[in-house]
Amino acid sequence: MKRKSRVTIRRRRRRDMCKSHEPMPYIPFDLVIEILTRLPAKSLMRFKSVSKLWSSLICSRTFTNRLLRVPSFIQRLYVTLTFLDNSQRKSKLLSSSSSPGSDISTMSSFVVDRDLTTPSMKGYYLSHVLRGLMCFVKEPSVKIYNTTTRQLVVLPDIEESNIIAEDHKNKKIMYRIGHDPVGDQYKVVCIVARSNDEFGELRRYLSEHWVFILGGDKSSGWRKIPCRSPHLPITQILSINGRMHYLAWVQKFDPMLVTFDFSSEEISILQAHEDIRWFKSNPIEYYGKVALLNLSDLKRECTMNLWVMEDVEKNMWSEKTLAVHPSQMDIVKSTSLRVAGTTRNNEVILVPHNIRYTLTGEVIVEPQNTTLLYIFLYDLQKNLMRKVEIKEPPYHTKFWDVVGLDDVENFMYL
Amino acid sequence: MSSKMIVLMSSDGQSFEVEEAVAIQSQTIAHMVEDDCVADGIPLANVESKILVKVIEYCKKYHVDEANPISEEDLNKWDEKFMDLEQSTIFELILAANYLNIKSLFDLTCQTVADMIKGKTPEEIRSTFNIENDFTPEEEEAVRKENQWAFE
Repeated sequence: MKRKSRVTIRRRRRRDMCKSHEPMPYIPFDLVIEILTRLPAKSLMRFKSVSKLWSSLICSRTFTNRLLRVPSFIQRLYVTLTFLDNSQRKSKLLSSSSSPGSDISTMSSFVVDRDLTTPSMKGYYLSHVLRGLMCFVKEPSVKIYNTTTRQLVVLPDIEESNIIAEDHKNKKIMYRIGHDPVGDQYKVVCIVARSNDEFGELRRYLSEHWVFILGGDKSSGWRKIPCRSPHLPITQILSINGRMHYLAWVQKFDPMLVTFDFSSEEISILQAHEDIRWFKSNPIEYYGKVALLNLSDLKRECTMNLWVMEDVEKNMWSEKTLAVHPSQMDIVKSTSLRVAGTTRNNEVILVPHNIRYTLTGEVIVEPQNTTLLYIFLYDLQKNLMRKVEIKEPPYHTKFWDVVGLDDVENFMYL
Repeated sequence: MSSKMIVLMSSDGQSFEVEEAVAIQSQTIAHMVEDDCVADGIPLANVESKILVKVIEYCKKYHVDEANPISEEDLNKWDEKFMDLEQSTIFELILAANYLNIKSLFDLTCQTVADMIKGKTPEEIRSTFNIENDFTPEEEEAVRKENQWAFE
């Protein structure tokens, strides 16, 4: 008897939905907005074609700010893979989600459920993802991709840059997306730098810092940020709490910690502790603080080195050497790993990486396990690593990599 | 223990006697009770009896206490059955929940309508909400193309 009524309910609902394109009782627009805030991204993007009012609403900052789901419970791991299709090499950008119901500390696998590949990403390096926005780089050009709305914008060239225009072999260009929490603006920072070709005491660096505001008036373009100490970035960039941090050389080879504040747009430079080894140092977030995790000794000695900036005012650092648990030594000895950020749960994301760079700039490509995709999450306090699989549809993968982990659905119109 | 009753009057003249504790789930009614203007019953000019019946049914179910203990899981199941209504009735319920300021009912009805419309085409949406298409064919095509993936 019960089963029958359940079936009846389902059938009535389907009938209801099919025939109900008839006009409904009038709902004032502010209540329609309430309904729209509960729709998934795909529906919202489709409904932009309903009318001009709906289109401008769905793109408006006030509306998209209401939809900002931070953090959602679903973690998304963005993966690129290159495979052969009829002897033709093709690349894909895939989005995989953690199992619903599992929280960040218990998630054990990611399942690929979205294919975000667009032709406009061909030839571009997928640098990083932050708050739903992804950065594609093909020096010197950069594109920003919204992973929720799938909108792609090409940023204008930085025409006024002197360094970009030069044909210098040691020119370095880095882009980073950041969020200014005070003004609620998303900005892209470009750092372009090179050495002055002198050696020893005379060695200096030239650098330029440019900022572009996303979602704003496109004609405003790139703005140059003054920097009293030109420098050369020597590590990846870490974004936390509205600021970005990286190590750089100002003079010779003494590493300095550079901080850029997305709100004030000020650059501050601190001397990094003299014992910090900059090579293979990864800036990470360690329980809200800036830290540097060094993996140089991981494969050989199964240890990692962690420097934490305990006090910014006093420029005080603490140091810790972490020894990998004996039961996990086999893993680190057999696989080259690179750091790809941290989770909200303070676990470090380690990605098997087959391309290594030596101090002399040599590139070593090791064979990569392409049948089983996975990452490791390393809890620095418990000193334990756990494996998280990425379940992907069968491709004859040639190589793969992780772009980053993100848990923000950002509907912002770029 | 005797419970205080108040009278709600629908727009089409029907009266419903409801426990005060149940009725004040509506912030609108709660304010009126505070302001002590409920002696002669509360006229609800914007809510007709057919809808008011459903609202009262909802409020009774959600008046959870020792006499009416119920788990969240059971409430969710009950919500699903409760929302098995004609789409037009659910729209009316959105208006009523908004007017009576009953947040949980408002959330439930909006979410239900969102789920019902999320698969529709723009044409079907226009029909449901009685919206005129003010795009030129070229403009509409441009917007569609920009969001091609959403139509697949």
